Amino acid sequence: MKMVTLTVDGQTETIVVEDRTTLVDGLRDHIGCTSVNVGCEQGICGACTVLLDEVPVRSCLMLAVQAEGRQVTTVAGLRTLDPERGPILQESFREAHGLQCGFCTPGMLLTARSLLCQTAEPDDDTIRDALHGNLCRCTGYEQIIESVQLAAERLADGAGAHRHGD
Amino acid sequence: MKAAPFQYVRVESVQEAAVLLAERDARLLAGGQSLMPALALREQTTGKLVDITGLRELRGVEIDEQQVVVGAAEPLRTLELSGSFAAAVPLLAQAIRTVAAMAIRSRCTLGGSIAWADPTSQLPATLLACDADVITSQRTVTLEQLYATSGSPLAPDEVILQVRIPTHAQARFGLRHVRRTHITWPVAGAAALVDHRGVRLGLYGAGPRPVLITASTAQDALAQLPSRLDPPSDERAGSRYRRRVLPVLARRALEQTEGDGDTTGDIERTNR
Repeated sequence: MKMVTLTVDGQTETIVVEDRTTLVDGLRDHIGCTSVNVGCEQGICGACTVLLDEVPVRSCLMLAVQAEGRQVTTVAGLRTLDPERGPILQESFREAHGLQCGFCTPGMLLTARSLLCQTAEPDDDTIRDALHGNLCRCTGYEQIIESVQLAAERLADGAGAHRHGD
Repeated sequence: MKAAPFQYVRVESVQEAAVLLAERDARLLAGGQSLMPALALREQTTGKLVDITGLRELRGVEIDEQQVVVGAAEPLRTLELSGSFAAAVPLLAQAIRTVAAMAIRSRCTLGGSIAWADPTSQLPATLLACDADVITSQRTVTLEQLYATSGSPLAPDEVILQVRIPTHAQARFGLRHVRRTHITWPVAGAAALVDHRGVRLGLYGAGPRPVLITASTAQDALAQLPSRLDPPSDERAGSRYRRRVLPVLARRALEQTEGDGDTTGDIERTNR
């Protein structure tokens, strides 16, 4: 067993885990972060994507003990981490129907946020290339691409000044 | 599925890692993007994981006019985001961008990829085409020499420290592969590098090891190709398919070096 201290969505957490416990199991079972989903547990599906020091990682492909001293962001902390892109991404996914069951959505949002940090106005191919590691069984992906495009447009338009709906 | 129990050790130095790795049933943990799935699926087990990812001496990228030196545990993401890396070794930079997904490239490393030595991976074959050297805790060898033996390319207590790639900013290059999904390794592919010294062609999915063909011309390289193939059969493709598709991919990669300057287009047109 190992004691691990890490920051999750701004909160310092100390947990005691088995050496073999993956980060996703540590987050869900020991800290209660159930927004991080466990899909395949072998790095294929992307449902467990979190940000580790703001970089997207598969939390099933690293150990909880490897997160010692690191800053983890789940989708629950996205709006606080990135008050500019976080809310606009979430609203764009809702408005452009970028989700149905929602299982893949936390991973999609966190990956899309990293894309928009790297490339402010990504074209269609760039979005597909960034998101191909996140599987979605509902939408057929087209609406997810549109959601990210919508978010990028709104960010380019001036940080959500032209928000509509609500 | 969950991995079977093991002990985890984060080491403070390469020497400490080497001592632990000399024990029976210990494995080095680099980015873990191949080892962790293998453990979770219980295709492999280990008594002890020796984590070297925190070692500063295994990180960093140095670029000068002759070569690029990459710390063995530096994540691919660093290389992918570096404009000077892409300018110095454009073929390798392009191959890196095709590896799995963003959230995997953020942990995956060149050292890990070389040690894992998957013959269907684009990285070892591309590094062969680039004539990379591997500096380990025990020796400095060309990647070609490292892969010349069968079995594990490294001694149990050997740690890869750096990968040294000669720059090929002036060379022409091409990369073509087929794959079923972006996440798993490709079915087969070819990485071609052509300069005034000749042709270097790295093939993946072509045999039990990545295959390197060197020749003075593209025609010579393609003529050698059939006799060099001993492709595997696995869940992604049969040996016969790989034997048929590899000459086509090699020809297209070589055509890419010659012609239209289309080095950024689809790497696997047939797959889209």
